[in-house]
Amino acid sequence: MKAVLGSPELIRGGATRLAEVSDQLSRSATTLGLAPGATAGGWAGPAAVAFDGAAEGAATACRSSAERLAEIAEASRRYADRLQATQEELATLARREAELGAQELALRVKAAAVRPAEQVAALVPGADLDLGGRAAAAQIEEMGAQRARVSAAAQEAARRHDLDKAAFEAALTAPPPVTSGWPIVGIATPDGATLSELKKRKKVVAQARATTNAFRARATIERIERLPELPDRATAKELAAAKKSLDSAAKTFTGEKAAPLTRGGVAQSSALVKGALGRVNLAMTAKEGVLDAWNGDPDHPGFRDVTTRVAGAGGAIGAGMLLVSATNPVGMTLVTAYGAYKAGTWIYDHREDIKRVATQAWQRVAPAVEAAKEAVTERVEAAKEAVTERVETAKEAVSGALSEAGNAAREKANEVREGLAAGFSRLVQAPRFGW
Amino acid sequence: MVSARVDTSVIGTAARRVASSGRDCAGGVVQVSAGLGQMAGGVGDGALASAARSAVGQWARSVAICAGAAEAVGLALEVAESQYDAAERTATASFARSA
Repeated sequence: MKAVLGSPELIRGGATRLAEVSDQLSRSATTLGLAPGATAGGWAGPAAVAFDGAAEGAATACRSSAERLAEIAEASRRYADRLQATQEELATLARREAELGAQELALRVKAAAVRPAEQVAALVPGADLDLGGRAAAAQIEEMGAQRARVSAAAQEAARRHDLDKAAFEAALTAPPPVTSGWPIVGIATPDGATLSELKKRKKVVAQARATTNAFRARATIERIERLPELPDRATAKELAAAKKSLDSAAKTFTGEKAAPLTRGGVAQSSALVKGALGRVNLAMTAKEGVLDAWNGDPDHPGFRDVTTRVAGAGGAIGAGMLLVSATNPVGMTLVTAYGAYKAGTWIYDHREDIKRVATQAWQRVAPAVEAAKEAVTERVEAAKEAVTERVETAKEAVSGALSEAGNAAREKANEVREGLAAGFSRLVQAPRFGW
Repeated sequence: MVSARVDTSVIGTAARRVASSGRDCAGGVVQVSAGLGQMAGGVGDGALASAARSAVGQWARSVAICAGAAEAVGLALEVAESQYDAAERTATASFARSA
């Protein structure tokens, strides 16, 4: 008798998994199908129409795949049930065949005694030694017929199993309804963006959102930690949510958590930032950067407008990076470059004022020096040298700053400010010493 | 001319829902492969096992495409949301400058 192999339980397990995928695809199809209706109240126009088509295309794909997978899952369960029934039927038939075989053997043993009994009867008249042998011989034929029926039933079960198998194989080998990708989406992006491009754009969107969230979270943390009284339960929850949001934003940029904040909202690692960036205020830098990137430089159209936008965007992004990871080298570079550019342009735009102030400083210093010469020549000479050196340094710095807009410009700008401040302070102090 | 009306919060809500659905579908690729693999191990017949194994690749691809399609629709919505936001900010800045 032919055995039918297989594990109905394993097949049912596989069917359950396919049914779960089918359910998921079906839910996705429902979500996609509802999306046009969900946006209809707040979104109308050509893009909305294009979106409706794309959503419907994707929904149809998900729905048809879900239906086909459900069919395969159902066919698998059906086959598992039939396989189990066939295996049970064949096992029953095999047991019956074995029983019949044993009975037939016993009958044949009895039948084998018929001939010797006849020989004895021929020698000993009146002796009857049949012992049921003739009856057994008569039953053997019937037993054979029964065994033939069992064998036929087993063959019929095997034939039905072949049909079940063919149906199951047909369900398995039918190609899935969705075999090609992009056309079913049919998203009418203006520039025909591919899926990978969309993912890149999504990353940019996520980083922009992360920057915004980081600003909000940091502002919240600073506000709460500066409260004079202990925060209540709701405020504590708000603080925890803000810290979590900051961590989440940090992960968007660096894949790591944000640097921990101490009381007062100052990052523990901000000493590194301060060392690198001086008095740069990240929040203000980012705000100015966003405004510059957005507005450009309307008073100077052309190259400077473009440069201002680029530098502003770099500054905003860099500040965002530093806000969530205070030691991010890319962020430091971007913010420093933006600061240098702003300093350079500020100096250039105010070059006349700077020259005027520097000249005025010199003009005011010179008479004081002349007057002081008469009183305390030696001290005045020293003061003059000091002041002259500072002013000359300032003039050189102004000249240098005008010629380059980079890191050097920012340093020179600081020197200018320091030089002018030193000059003014000496002027203010001079009368106090009675010069 | 089609009149336009945009509420980015509506688009954003739909975007996140659809994209989330697409991401959930992506798990189906592994699941469908495992299910068919399990079946291939469960059927005793060589031809059936072979059919189940060759269906794995086709269905994994098909489910991945569906998941990708759903996710792409969500991504497109998110991009649309950000572009509308950007357009609104640009317009606001222009009005502020001209005011």
